[in-house]
Amino acid sequence: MQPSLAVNNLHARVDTTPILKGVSLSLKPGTIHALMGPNGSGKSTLASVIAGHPGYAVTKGSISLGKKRVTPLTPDERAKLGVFLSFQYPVEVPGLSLEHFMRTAYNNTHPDETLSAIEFHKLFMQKLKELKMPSTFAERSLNEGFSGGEKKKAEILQMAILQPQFAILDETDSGLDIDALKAVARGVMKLQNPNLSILLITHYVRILRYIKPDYVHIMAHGQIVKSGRRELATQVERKGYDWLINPQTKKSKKK
Amino acid sequence: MSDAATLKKFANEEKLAREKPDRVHYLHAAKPGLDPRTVEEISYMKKEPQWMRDIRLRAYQTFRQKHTPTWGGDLSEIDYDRLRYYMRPTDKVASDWKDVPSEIRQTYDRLGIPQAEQKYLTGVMAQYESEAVYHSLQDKMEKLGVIFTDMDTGLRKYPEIVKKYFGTVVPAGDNKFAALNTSVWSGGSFLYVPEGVHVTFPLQAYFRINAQNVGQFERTLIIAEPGSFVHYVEGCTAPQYVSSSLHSAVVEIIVQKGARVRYTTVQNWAKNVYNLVTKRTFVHEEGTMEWVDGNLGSKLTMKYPSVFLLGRKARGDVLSVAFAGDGQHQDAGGKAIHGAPETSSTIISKSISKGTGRTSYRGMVKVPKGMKGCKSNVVCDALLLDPKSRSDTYPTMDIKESDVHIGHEASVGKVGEEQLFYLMSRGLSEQEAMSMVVSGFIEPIAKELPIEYATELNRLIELEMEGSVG
Amino acid sequence: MKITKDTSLELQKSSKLEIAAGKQVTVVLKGSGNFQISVGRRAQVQILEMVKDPTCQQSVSIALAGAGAHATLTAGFLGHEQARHELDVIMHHQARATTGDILIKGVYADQSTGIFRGLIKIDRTAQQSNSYFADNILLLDEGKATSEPTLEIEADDVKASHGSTTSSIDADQLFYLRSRGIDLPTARDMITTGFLQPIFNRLQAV
Repeated sequence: MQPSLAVNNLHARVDTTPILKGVSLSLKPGTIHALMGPNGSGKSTLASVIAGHPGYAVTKGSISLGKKRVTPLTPDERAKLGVFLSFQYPVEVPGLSLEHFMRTAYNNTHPDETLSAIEFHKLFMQKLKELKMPSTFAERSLNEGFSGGEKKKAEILQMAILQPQFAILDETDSGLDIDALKAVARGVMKLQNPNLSILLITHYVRILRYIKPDYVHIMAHGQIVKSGRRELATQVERKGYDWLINPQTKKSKKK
Repeated sequence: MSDAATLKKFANEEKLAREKPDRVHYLHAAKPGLDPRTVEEISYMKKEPQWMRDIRLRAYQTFRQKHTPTWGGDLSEIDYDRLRYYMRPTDKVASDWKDVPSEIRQTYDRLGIPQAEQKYLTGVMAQYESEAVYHSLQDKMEKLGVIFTDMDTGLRKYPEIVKKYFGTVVPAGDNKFAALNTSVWSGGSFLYVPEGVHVTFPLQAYFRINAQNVGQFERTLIIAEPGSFVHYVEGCTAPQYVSSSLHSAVVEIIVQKGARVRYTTVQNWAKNVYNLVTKRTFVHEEGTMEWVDGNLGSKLTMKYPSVFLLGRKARGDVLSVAFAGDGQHQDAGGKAIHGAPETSSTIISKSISKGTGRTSYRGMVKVPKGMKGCKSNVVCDALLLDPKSRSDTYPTMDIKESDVHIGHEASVGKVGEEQLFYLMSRGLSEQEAMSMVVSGFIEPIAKELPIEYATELNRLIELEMEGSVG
Repeated sequence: MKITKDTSLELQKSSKLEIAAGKQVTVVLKGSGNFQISVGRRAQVQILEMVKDPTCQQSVSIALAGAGAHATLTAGFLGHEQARHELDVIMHHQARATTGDILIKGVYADQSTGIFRGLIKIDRTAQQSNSYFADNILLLDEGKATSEPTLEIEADDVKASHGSTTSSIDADQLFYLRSRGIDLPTARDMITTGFLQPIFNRLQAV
């Protein structure tokens, strides 16, 4: 069986500001985790740090994959290990075609089954079709001039092509209308398999109606303050976050 | 001209005629340094008509009088007395394959250029003809009445056309290097497209005849008669190895009413070359001129393709991309002179500086009074790859008419950290991510190139980018 | 002159200003002259002006000398009859993380002329700097303008850009106003005033 992605007592800061203050989390293959919490609680930072964003410094703790230490690896080395981040704000790269980009990424992350331009084109078209995306996506520049919904769909398309083992979906639901949300969620569910684990970062409960998590974690002030099964999400929907965030922790942190 | 001056001129000509060079003197022309005798000999060897010889000699005087420009790049190291101004067609640039620097041979190999072609490009082989392609091309053109030949042959076979247009678009007095070119020009292309003829395939100087094509002082003249269309392509992306360090070409183009000319250049000079080129087009009513210009290599390039829009609704576009590596300076840009109402121009410039490389955009948009309804849009973007890289932007918009729309935008920046992270998070190495961002950056211009040129340009930039990630 | 407290001041002739670290200063320029302003570490200067004189020749040189210094120049120009305005402005980034923002709006009517030269210079020592230059010119009648917005950038981790436009009054705008019963001269006036309004607003706030 393949190993879990383990986050152990992770501390990270940007410039001099600490953001993650001891996060622990384990993603077993085949499980879906939802990570919820108010704005500024450190959810997106956790996603970026797992993917290896150079703007954050890990000050304590670690990320590992079985015996392999992930923390010192560059973002591309992590991608080669099967880590995939669906960005909250996908970056635009003018002039770079989505297909050309994806082919290079695919061949880098699948060194044993590299595809020629023609073979890859078939795969690309098939994935577009599966996700009900127009074939014009192939020639368009990476995320340039994409609508919010198109950007999120393109992220899921990339996930479908690269077939990662650990997918972190950073607010993939934000800014989408209900139809787009359903389409994206359907796309994600299609990719579910026993080797894939998903960390779904969200503000809202509504996406959890379509992507059903096994575990729910609540994050506040750079820590996971509560973990539970799916019901925890329902409680959050009813009562909000306040009851979960210990005000005393807040005060002691300020000191 | 005053009587005294006329007399002096005749006296001078007579003196030169008396000193008519004999065989021995042929060698003089190929020696370093420039004097009227060298100019005279170049013309004599080419068996040129007297009027061309006069043009050359007058241009020589202009060259001596004109000052070296003090703006743009650093030209102080050019030593005119040590340069060679004429190479006989049989003179090979490099006499042996072994003389070609290994750096250049390696680049050819990595670009996947066949060896026969490599030898042509370096001058080891004086002729490179893809016979089949070349001959079928000639047949097609003859049927259309298109004249496409080297400039020396053009002058010999079509003197009346050459006489009518030569030096009308770029007079010798335009600048010091135009004067130099006019006095010692050799090679270049002569292209004449008759009225209403559309040449559907790009004409490539590359397939044309011989090594004179890659000379130091090429002179190109293109005439597109009313309603015609032609796409001319010069150069290739392989580095051009020349033994001399000064390349100074002049390109004159006349676009008649309703005609359209596209002129594409992709050049990659050896890193010791000064590439100082004057390119200009007169565009008449409803005509269109498109310059597509890719500049790589050289020590210093100064090149500002220009459009003089002389008839109502004439249009001119200049698209350029420049890459400056360590120790290189690419000073490029464009010029649009709106000399008639309702004319429009677009200048798009993309530049990349790496290491200690420096790129400059230098441009001019001019709308004189009374030229109503003119439009111009200028966009220049620069990418800096290293802390020591430099980029400058020097545009001028001189607008003396109110009924116009003139826009200019420029930006300078580096490859964004977020872009790199995004690409790397999908499994691309930092090097690959950098190359992809850079290729994407020049894509708007690369897509205007014939496909094989665009592909080679991208590969070349990838090669140049190697080692750019620390 | 060294400015060591937060303040607003008016400069009427050639002068040299040095703004001390951390201070916030508003400077209003009046008329021709050579103005040199050096901005210290984390200091901020807002430079404003509205030029309507028949002639004006100005050179404004801003040196962002200390890390984190910030300067804005917001200038409006209105030329009538034979008016002639000439502005040379330099935003010189000498230290890290400095920011500059230049906005010039000019309206040239009758036979008036505006000449604008702007240079953004970023030294190698000024990484993480950010600079912008915009000049928007409206030409009416026989008005003329020259714009030379130049950039000299020697640091890579920076953003520098400029935008420059020259045009006449938008015909659709004019038509819209006139369709509401406004006569041509008033409509022209309203549009040009509207064009310069952001600058009037900033000046009034001083």
